[in-house]
Amino acid sequence: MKRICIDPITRLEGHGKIDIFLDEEGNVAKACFQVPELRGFEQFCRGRQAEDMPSITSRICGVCPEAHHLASVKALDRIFAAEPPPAAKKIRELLYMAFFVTDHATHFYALGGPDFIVGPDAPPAERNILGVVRKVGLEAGKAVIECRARNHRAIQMLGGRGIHPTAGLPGGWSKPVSEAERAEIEEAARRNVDFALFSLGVFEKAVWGNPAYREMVESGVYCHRTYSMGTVDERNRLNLYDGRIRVVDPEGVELARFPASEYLEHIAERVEPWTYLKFPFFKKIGWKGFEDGAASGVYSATPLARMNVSRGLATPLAQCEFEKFYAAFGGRRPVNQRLATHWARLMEMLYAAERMLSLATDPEIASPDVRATPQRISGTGVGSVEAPRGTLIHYYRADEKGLLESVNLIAGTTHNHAAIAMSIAKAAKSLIRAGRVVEEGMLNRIEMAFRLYDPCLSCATHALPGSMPLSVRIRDHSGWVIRTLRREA
Amino acid sequence: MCAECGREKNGKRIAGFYRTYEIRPDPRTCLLEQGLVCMGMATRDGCGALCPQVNMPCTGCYGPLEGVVDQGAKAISALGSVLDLGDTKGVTGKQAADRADAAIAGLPDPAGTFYRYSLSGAVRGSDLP
Repeated sequence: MKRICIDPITRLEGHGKIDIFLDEEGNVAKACFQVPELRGFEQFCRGRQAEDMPSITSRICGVCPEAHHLASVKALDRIFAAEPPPAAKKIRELLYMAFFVTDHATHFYALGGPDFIVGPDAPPAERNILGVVRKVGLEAGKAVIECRARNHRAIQMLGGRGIHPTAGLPGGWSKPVSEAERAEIEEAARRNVDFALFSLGVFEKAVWGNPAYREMVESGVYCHRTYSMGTVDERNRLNLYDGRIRVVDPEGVELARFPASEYLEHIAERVEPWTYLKFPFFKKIGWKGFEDGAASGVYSATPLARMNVSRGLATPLAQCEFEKFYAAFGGRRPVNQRLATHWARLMEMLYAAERMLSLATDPEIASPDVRATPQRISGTGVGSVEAPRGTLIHYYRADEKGLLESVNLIAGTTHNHAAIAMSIAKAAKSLIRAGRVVEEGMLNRIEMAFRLYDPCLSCATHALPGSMPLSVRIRDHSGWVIRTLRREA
Repeated sequence: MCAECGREKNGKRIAGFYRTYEIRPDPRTCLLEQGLVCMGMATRDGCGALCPQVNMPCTGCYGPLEGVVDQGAKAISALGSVLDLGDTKGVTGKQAADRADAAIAGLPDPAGTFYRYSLSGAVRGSDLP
């Protein structure tokens, strides 16, 4: 059996490895997505003070520390039996919306977008954010940098630090918002709305308006019919900060709707010997292997999955885009074409920008009442948010001194692990055939199958990111390397 | 990091320590003098005292001061100078130690507090590769 190894894969957060095994005829026998790293946060956080967790777990990732900070502090609200005052919840969500805008902008312009905007067959040296700027214009590049700057400034004002915020406390937030800060954040939110609309325009023109890409988005290669999971409000509209976790089947029929505290009743994790990253699945359906369909417990929790579990979006411009999105796919719900995740991500960016504006102009946001008094310091607590890459769940159990006895973290990428492996295998099977030379652009299309999930392996295994050169090894059936392709970072 | 912090120091001594969820600190005065374990006095500056600006104590993430290997020991020795053990006239060494123990009883995870980012450097020496 020949073996094609893409190691390490590029333009994702963290470090992973793809192995494609060919049979004697040169067809794909199977594909594995391996995560060879382990960090052990769940182990070394035992014995730590529960209230330190928002700042410790932030350090899992430099890209989405805000998601860990908030899932963590929501778990603490439960352990300490302290319901945050309305202003504290709004400040948390306001910070989170600023974060969503900047994080989704990073993915679209720097990580996922280059494949579409510059082109999947373009040389890697051009298929990056600089290539995007060259194509979309220097002004757009400036707008991306300004977007990141103003939102990280908002995060710093609200949370203390632009990366790794520190203001989360059980029962609230450590600092109220001043009027001057509120006004600056309002202005940032207005500019975010414009920027999100601009980005959707880029998508419409460069991706949806290009028949070749559109065919790729709509093709069966990037289609998977699995369950979808995401968080919704009381009217089943998307909510990224709080609500009930909702699950629908590949036809859109509701399987479950539950508070995060009940996640163990719904989700089980499968361990495979060849990777450190676990494979969660729905208990009610069971693990049937890496299979599509309603009979398989595999699910995804991505921006696309969140659209599929939502009845709509709670802000007006984003709702228009939501309707346009489903109309573009013939009114069918759910949409299972996974490359549409990039579009869904931009819809979320617009929703987050509008939501940020509505929170920044909420009269209650500048209230000085931002902390509730804890009633106890022990017990169990589960906190969850929708992280950019999927539902993020923190579970803690603390003893009578408020020291942790047990920690479990399920990060967004972890939920999508089985789906990612399936997408890679499917893309590889459709693109590599007997006798066809494995070309760089083709390998990149296989990588596109995982990049659409915006995987963060740092979070999923709680593993550090590495450098990102790409090396491809092709082995014959006896294991000898017969060809090595390499591109530098 | 104290040099960058805008909070006022009044030379106040403290009888014990609080955990962050236990008190709502005054936004203008030194967090350490209010009984929060703020690592600012043992931590290299450069961040601009970000955490104290949102009423949260420094956790020491910039590492030890120039020339210091053991950041936690430096912090603990600084705490000794702000801890108020009451009138120690005629008090035996054992009694004084008991009072000190009582004062730090509110800190159940000292290694995680004083060495959050620096335990390996303190144990192995900071100049190792």
